Amino acid sequence: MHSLVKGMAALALSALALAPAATYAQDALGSGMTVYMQMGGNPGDTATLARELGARDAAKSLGVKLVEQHAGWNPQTMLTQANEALAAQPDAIIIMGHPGTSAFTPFLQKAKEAGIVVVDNNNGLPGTGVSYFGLDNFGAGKNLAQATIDNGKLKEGDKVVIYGAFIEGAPSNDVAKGTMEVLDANKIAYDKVQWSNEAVADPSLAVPVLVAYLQANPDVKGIIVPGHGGVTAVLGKVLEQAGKKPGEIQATGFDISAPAIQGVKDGYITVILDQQPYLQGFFPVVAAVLEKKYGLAGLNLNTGGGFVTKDNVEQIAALVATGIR
Amino acid sequence: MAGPTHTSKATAPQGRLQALLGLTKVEGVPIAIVLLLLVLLFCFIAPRAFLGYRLYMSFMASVPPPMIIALGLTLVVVAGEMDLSFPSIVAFASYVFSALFQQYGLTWPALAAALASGAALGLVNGLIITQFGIPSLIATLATLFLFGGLTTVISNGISVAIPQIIGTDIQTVFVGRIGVFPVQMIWAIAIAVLIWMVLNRHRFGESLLFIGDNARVAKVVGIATDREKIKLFTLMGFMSALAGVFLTLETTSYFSSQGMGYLLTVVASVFIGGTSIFGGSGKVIGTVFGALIVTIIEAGLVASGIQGFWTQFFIGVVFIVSVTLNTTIEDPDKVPLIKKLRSRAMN
Repeated sequence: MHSLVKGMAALALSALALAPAATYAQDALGSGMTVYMQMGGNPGDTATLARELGARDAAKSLGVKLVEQHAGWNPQTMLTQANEALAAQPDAIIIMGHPGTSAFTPFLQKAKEAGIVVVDNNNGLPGTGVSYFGLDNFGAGKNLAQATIDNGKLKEGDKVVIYGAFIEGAPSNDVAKGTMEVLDANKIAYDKVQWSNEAVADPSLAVPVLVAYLQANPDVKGIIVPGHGGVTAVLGKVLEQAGKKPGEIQATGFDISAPAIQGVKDGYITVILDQQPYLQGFFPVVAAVLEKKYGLAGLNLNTGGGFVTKDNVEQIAALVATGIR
Repeated sequence: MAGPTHTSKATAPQGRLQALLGLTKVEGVPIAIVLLLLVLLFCFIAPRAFLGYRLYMSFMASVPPPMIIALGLTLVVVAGEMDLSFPSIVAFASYVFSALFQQYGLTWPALAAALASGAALGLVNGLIITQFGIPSLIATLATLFLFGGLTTVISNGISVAIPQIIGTDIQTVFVGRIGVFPVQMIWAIAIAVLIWMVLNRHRFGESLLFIGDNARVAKVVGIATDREKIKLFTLMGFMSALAGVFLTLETTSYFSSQGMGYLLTVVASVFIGGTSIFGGSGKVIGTVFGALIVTIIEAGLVASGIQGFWTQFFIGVVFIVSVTLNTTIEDPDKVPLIKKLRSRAMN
């Protein structure tokens, strides 16, 4: 599936790149269309940049006018921005599903009445029927927990800490839920430490908190960060300051970035789950245009790209430097 | 004979009490007592974490950047102004430094460029505030977005990892370790001493206190208020940039959201430290301890086993208790509830 998706993206990009520019501008599939798109976090942050680049590439290729919205991962802001986009009456709106199906229902109804296409990315909206591009977050959390257990050879009675979001509707909450389900099933004990808004914005602030936790709980065998690339990136620093050696504790996380890749190279971070956000930017724009133009709807694509470990880190490092991964 | 002996025995403890009470009037002592009580509390409920040295070394490594910014902000608040743009200046300077190092291998020139860029952005703040007449709160809120946007545009939003900087002279000088002790804490304390001297022993500090107390009168008595404010915001930009470089050297990376998490913690450090929100007075030593308290609270609560949603709740509780305790130790009459209780007890 992973290769197929990458192949599709590469094919689409190369075909569009080869097309003569002048003709192309005239014939572009989405020419004249305006698409509003929610990018999730803040401009350029770890989990947002690749999505932005993907969306811009697709918009450029299809001749679409792309209007980007950034919510700082705040579900309430996402709802507000969706309604602001609605007021602008564009051809399509690409939303982030974090506020949930109930919260988005009135918006979806209004968009339908106005003939505006809605596409969802990054967080699913079950039961709405809108096209979705992103991970099965719950499943991703399960995979992350399983990878932690497998890599660390954890067994019943072992203990780990989950440093993440446990508030309903918060980004990554579904991932944390999936993680906990697998830990429960394997009878692995865990503590839940909720990250602060400050640490989400500036992950260096998570370092002393996690060092304090590790000092107070020397029996802990793993740290799982279900959903924050920046926090994942500082795990190496946490283990170093807590006096742990590379590999002594399983440190697993979400979303790749240059510092996180370095953590894997140094041996502190054992597994990173990669959701390939570039695809979550590229395909929703394509889907929005196809639905507006031809009525092709109901698409669903899991963009999950597997794990980054010390075995494949070198291959991915080059793409991370460009922001594509 | 018994009478005088009894009196002298009674006055000795009273004298010691007076001396102790007098000690609480010394700048920074009340907030230092609050920090000490907090550490003792955490030593009691989370001994594994708080009786070892590693956690304190972690604090010493992570506190200096927000502490340096908070020291600069103390001067700004003393002058009756506010600066909310520092997170974006931190990010901008971090990017300048890490990009110059990554692309050209520059270290000391990269530091100079980062500091100069921070000072330049601070100068822009000062000019907007004094020349456009926009209140500093609004002006710096605008430049928080302006500088932040500029940083993202210039960096194209890409994170920069500079692990190769580990072991270079600049990294050793600024964030190396003496044994296990992070050097950056020594720098932060030195900067605190310098800022204390500026505020309490230099004409510039005197001008800021005067402006914060009454800007109109300060102007009448001949203080060039606009010039002093421009200098103040330029210094604030410089210190934010310095903090950004410390942060980048410690984490060996740059993120576009770097510094954003400091917004509330830095402001909290200044006010927990006892600097007046109305301007005209400031406590540099209080800010130092305030920054330590802000950092220690969450780590202490997590180490104590308080998990999930309760952490945020107790952070709020500890904040309120810390500020109230600080004020009570300093002057009990400043806390209306204690003042009422004392007057009832006396009646």
